Amino acid sequence: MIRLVGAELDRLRARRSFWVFALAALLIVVAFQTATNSTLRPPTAEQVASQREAYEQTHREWEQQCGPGSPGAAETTPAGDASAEPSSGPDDPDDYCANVPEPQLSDFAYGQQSFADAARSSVQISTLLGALLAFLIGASSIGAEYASGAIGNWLTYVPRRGRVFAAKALAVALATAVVSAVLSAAAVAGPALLARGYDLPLTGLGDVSALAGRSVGLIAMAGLLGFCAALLTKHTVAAVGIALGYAIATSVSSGVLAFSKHAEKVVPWTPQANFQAVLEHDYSYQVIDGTGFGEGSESRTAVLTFEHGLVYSLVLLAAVLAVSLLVFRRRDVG
Amino acid sequence: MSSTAAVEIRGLHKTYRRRGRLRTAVDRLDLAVPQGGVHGFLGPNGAGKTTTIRMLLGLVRADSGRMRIFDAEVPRELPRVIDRVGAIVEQPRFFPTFTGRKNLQLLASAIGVPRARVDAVLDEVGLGDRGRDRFRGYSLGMKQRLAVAGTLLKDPDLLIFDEPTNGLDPAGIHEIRETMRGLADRGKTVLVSSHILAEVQQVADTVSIIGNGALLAEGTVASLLAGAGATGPTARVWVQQGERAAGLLRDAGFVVRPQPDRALLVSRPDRPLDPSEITRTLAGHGLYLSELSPQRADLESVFLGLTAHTGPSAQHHAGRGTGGTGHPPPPGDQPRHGVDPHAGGPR
Ligand SMILES: Nc1ncnc2c1ncn2[C@@H]1O[C@H](COP(=O)(O)OP(=O)(O)OP(=O)(O)O)[C@@H](O)[C@H]1O
Ligand SMILES: [Mg+2]
Repeated sequence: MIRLVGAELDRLRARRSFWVFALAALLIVVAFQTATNSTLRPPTAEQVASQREAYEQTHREWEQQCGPGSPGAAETTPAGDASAEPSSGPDDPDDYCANVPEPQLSDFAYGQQSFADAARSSVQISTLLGALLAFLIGASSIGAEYASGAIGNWLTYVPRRGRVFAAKALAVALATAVVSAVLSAAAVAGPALLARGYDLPLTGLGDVSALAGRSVGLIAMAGLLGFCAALLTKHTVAAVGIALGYAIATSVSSGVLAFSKHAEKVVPWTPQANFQAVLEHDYSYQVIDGTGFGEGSESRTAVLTFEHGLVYSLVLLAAVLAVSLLVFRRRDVG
Repeated sequence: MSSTAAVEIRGLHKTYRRRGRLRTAVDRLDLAVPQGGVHGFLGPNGAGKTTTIRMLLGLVRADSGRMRIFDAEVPRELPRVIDRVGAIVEQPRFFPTFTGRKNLQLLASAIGVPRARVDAVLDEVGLGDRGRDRFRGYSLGMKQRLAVAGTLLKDPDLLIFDEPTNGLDPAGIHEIRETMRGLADRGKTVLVSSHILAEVQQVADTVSIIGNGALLAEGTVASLLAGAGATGPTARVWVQQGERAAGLLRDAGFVVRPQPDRALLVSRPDRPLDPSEITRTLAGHGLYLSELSPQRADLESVFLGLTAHTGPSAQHHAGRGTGGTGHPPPPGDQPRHGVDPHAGGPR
């Protein structure tokens, strides 16, 4: 069995697409750090100057409209504008000045994030990318075997299908876990290094590391799901189609559920919410009570717990693996 | 089941379902492959050879029947004997983007054979210097040789080759034949399926002939040929006034087939052919032979006789398991239903 897993890992490693996918994901995560950099970086003198300039210009405009001696402040309507008098349109300086407070310099400050927030976004991006990549690695590894027919040849050397399946699945899980560990490490190290460079404290590093760890688990799971999808359909492309269909269904359903009073009944059983609950350790979503719109409706926050997400995800994975194993064991190989 | 056979199959049955229609690929097949030597597994296209081999290797599930490789009941005990079995089913199938060497290395590590053995078997099949090329770029012959090299990794006692010479040039065919003979001479058992008899007759010690998924004949090549000989071989006759001669011979009860070179192939379906009878018949009418040569019966004619009515679309053949009792058409008869036209004529 160890021999078989070794051979499967060796095969994955020899596949060029494995490295292409892995490198592409790593590059994107690294590239994302430029965005992280801009959120962590303290403003430069130039930025402070332009910030000041923007503030001053806005303030000047405000002063002309609403400052002392301005039409708004004098509380007079422009002469000859009788028709505008009964109603106060949006351009009415009176109304405008009442709603717009005096601009403050701080309103124009560049939003400088904390390390924890920046690292969190970075890990979320790397999880999404990693899951996509792992799904592709898992799907194409077995898809290539069916496409080339090499699976039939392989089975004439190792006829124990249960073991062959286990070795392949394990190899996919291990390989994607290693790749995702690298991705997660990069996703956390990037913001950490940047934060250090700007003398920001690394508060929340523990939480972020735990998040990254859960990300590794989810990515390996995506690899296994991709593997099973391609094994069941015998085609990499079909597996990718399944993933696409899932993505579309998820975005549609989340759009529908966002306005639904049934959200609390449905959301806990959608894969997406449960994966989120695992990744973010509890997932909160909005539920609207009542009709959904207008009076009598109230929005409140519901929570899907980490434990729920974990059990759900593991049961889902186990079920998919079991069905795939059953099919693989019984299927004629032509 | 006897324990001396390398492969033994009893009542093997397999039906495929395609778009709701059932198609019997293997029909209560019995087969025995003795240990040692080359065993030809013959049948026209679609006879069920590949399906049988797939079932033997556990790639395809049988509906019913029992199979045995050496002392192991397969597919249940296949893992126990798989180290003694090397097989190529239909086309050699490897990972196209890996080198030939990498493909074999993967197999070697999966079955626990030292990697050093990979280079040894590559050299053995003459791929030593091409081992680092991608499989995709191999010629058909090289792919075939790589597959043979793969089977040799574990030094098996039984080798199963399914149409190993498909698409090979004469040199390649010769090479494969030599390889099979060499393996048999080293005490291995080689089961080789083919629809091209010419290549199998030269190398096989025993053969089984199947049609429509069922056994039609089996035995040693010699016994099958002797069976064919009993119904009378054919004589090739060359005479002036060929048409007149043909008429006279037919009147005397011979079967006559004129040949393109104006020779006549003469046979006697009812009793053994006696050449002197031909001479007497023609001389009695003032016709004198310039040539009379006996045509050696070959496996081709046995095969054609047995399988003529078992093409892919034909009905099930009634008789089976009776060695060499079919009536062989004379050599030179064109192959019928689904038999490869390249199979060649009499030699
Ligand atoms: N996967 C399959 N699905 C449906 N029918 C199949 C399948 N494989 C084989 N068959 C059918 O089973 C029959 C036997 O096919 P098989 O490939 O075993 O023949 P064969 O003797 O190997 O022929 P050939 O000499 O052409 O290789 C054929 O009628 C074929 O159409
Ligand atoms: Mg075949």
